[in-house]
Amino acid sequence: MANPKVLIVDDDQDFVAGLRLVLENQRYEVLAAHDREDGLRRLRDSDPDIILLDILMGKGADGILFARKVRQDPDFARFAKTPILVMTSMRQQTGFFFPGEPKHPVFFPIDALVEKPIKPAELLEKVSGMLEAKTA
Amino acid sequence: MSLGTKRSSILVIDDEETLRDACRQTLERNPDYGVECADDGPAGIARVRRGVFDLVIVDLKLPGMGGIEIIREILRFDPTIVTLIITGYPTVASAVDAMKNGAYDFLPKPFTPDELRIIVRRALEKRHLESERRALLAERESLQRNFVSLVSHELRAPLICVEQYVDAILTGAVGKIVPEQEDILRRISIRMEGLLGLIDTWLNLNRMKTGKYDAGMKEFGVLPMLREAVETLQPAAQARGVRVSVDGPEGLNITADPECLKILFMNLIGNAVKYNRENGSVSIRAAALEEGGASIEVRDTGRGIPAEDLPLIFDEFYRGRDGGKDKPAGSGLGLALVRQIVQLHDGRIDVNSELGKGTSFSVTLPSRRK
Repeated sequence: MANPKVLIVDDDQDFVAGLRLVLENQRYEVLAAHDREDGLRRLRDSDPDIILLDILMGKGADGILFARKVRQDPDFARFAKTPILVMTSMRQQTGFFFPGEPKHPVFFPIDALVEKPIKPAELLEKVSGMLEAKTA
Repeated sequence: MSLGTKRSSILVIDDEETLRDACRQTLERNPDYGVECADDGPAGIARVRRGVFDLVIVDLKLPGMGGIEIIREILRFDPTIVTLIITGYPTVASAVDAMKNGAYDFLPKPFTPDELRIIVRRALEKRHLESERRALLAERESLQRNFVSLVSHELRAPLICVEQYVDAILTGAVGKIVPEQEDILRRISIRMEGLLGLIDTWLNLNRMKTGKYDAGMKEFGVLPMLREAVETLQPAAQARGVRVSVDGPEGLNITADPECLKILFMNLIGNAVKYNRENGSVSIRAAALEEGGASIEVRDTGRGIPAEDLPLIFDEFYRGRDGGKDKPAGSGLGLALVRQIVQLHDGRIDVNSELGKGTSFSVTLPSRRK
């Protein structure tokens, strides 16, 4: 099987570079986008196996708009099963509900959450777990 | 002063038709006033619930529901409405009683049109100033909150990047590292985590101060909450060989903000672990209070806090005395946060400490009406 493709959507290029080192070391193919539009374009063009998504990008919570578009826009229907892992350092501040909390799926349709900074072992475990769940 | 161009709505509640009409005629000579009337308490209150009033003028002696009761009911619905009492029995006692219940002022019968106009103008000025004050306060709080969130994001983002890079090197993603390098990287990582923790605590403290946490009150079990906090701290406790026990009545419930209380006990229990001796113990005991609410004690077997330091420990940036080279690093904000949370819940916190034996914090949280 070809190496799984990971799309990272995050406006902090250093953060992306840090994750890329860890993921590429484990033979993942890493694609990066630094804003919502770029992320949606990359998603359409390159068909990743999993999406790692930041919430606060640009001036607002662009990650949420990204996730909603992917999950709700018929144009993106073929990505309905592509898992989205949100990475945030602002869990409490945003006031949003996250997986494991009530109301989450309606509000913010993602599959899992990790808080930044992300321990490499935790990241790799989450990513491989979500990829397995997808193919199972 | 000018009340601006906004029209003021006034409601007159009185059972005497002549008095209602007199009030209306006198006040409606001012084009900025809109006046409505009601002839008893229930009708007046119903009117208040349906509309937006700046001022309500109430007769103290009404058949059925009395003026004081009406005022209380109106203020319960909207505490920003200014109320005036009219009374035919101008005794000091009734006036004081009305003001104690929230009336702004009172006007004894009989009164002249001028007397009515003056007192109404003053009452509306007060209403105007009060709403300006509230608007300013709300604006300041929102600025403060956003500022805190913004600063925290801006502070955290670069630290998180450093941490990710260090972790990437530590996992060997950029080539083999020698043990000395690994050692230094681990130290960097530990200090970075400390700094991130400091920012979190500082942020919580500031959110507490701006009252953002006040809305989350609900009823929940005390023991499950304590066990959850202990669970999170278990790795730190095990690393130092510290045993942590939780005791108390299983069914004990409390009404509080669960997020806040978890932060509170994470801090107290975390300290009890951190400042304990190797292989010491932490015992947590919860008990119901006779008058409702709960008391929770966290007792450690650490080296204790010197008596002269006890008054200082809840101050921001106070830190435990240097205990040698293995001194655990703290932010100096944990107990300040604890105190803030206790105050937010109208509770109290007491501390007892004996040098060389240990320290005990007890938190008392009163029962709350929901």
